Amino acid sequence: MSFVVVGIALNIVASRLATLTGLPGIYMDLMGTFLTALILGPWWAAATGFFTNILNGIMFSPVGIPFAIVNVAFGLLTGYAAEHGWTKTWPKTAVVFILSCLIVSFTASIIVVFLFGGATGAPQDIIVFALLSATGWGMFSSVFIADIVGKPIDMIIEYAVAFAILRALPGEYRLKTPYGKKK
Amino acid sequence: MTAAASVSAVLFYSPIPAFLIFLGCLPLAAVGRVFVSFLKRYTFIASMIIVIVVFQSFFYAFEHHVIATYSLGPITLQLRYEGVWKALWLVTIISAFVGWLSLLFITTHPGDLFAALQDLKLPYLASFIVLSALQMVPMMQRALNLCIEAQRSRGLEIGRNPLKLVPIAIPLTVGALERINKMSWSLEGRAFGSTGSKTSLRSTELRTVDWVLMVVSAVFLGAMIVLRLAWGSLYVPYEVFFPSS
Repeated sequence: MSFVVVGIALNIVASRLATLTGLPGIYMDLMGTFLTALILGPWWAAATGFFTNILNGIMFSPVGIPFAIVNVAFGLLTGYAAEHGWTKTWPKTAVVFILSCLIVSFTASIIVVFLFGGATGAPQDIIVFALLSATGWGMFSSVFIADIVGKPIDMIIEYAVAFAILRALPGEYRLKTPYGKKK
Repeated sequence: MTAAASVSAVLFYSPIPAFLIFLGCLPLAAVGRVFVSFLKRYTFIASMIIVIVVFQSFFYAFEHHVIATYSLGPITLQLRYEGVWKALWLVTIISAFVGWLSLLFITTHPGDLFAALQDLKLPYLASFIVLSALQMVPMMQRALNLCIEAQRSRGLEIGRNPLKLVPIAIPLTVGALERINKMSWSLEGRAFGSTGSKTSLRSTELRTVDWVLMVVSAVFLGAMIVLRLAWGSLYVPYEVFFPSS
């Protein structure tokens, strides 16, 4: 349970850390959820994701609260993947990585389109505008494509940093996890 | 009040009721002397509001009437009546949601909020996680600044390379885990896992004014539902504004 608290704080602080790079589309707000998924499994990861957005809503802006669904979906996916050994080899991790990108972009696009009329207030809105005006695509397709284009870059950083943290963790944490050699 | 206001804002497909509900929280923010921090919450959604208006007004996909046409280089943009209406509706309900929820979060200490939710049968573990995380975030932010300074003194420049965040993220997380481990031990030492009823520094009791506000909120919500049934969605069709076309 105490790791969930760290996961939530890590999600919030890492997203602040991501702003230091100044790169658009880098959020790093799922790292704590991913780490919790690797160590504690799906439901604790889902709780980490859910409470991250509730806390963000309390501390910064309530607009982030509906996006808890994205964080929960990501936590469940990666948690079940870790539990069934899909994060132990690189080819399997690559499959989970691709699925993560799709799930995160899909759920986020649903919320963005139906609750916020297609707007995120982020630089990717420019891509959405270009797609809407140049291709004639619908709002959902444009938002989804604009999000999924940049998602792998953000996600690869989340994965890389989370795995690096996991390797640096004391053995008592790793050996208890689905990622470790003993379960 | 927040729940009643938020539900009422989405009952109608019109920006007017949502705008009036949004206006309702402004005097409360002023009376509560939280107007500045209240307005700061809107800086997060300012750009979003502009984009919503542009996207919905010009790219509304369903059946629509064109009010005006603009050319932007090779791109032709049509201002669509139904899109403008939806944009105003979305902007006002988002403003109302943000306003009432911000008012709740700014004026209520999270400890009191979760103590009250516990009285409403929220599991103790859930409120404990949120309250612990609330304490953990500022601590980690301080630790983050220390890690950044320490790594900079060793010559690390983050620049635009996100992989250089790894040497900062690892000590940050391991340090946080050590801190939370100490917290876990001290909690276990105080019988955190026991099943008996727990005491808390913060507790909430419903006062007369709380009951009055709850009744007022329920009556307000009930009245809005009755108005919704009597008046319909309050949508004003294109033909009302442009009868000749």
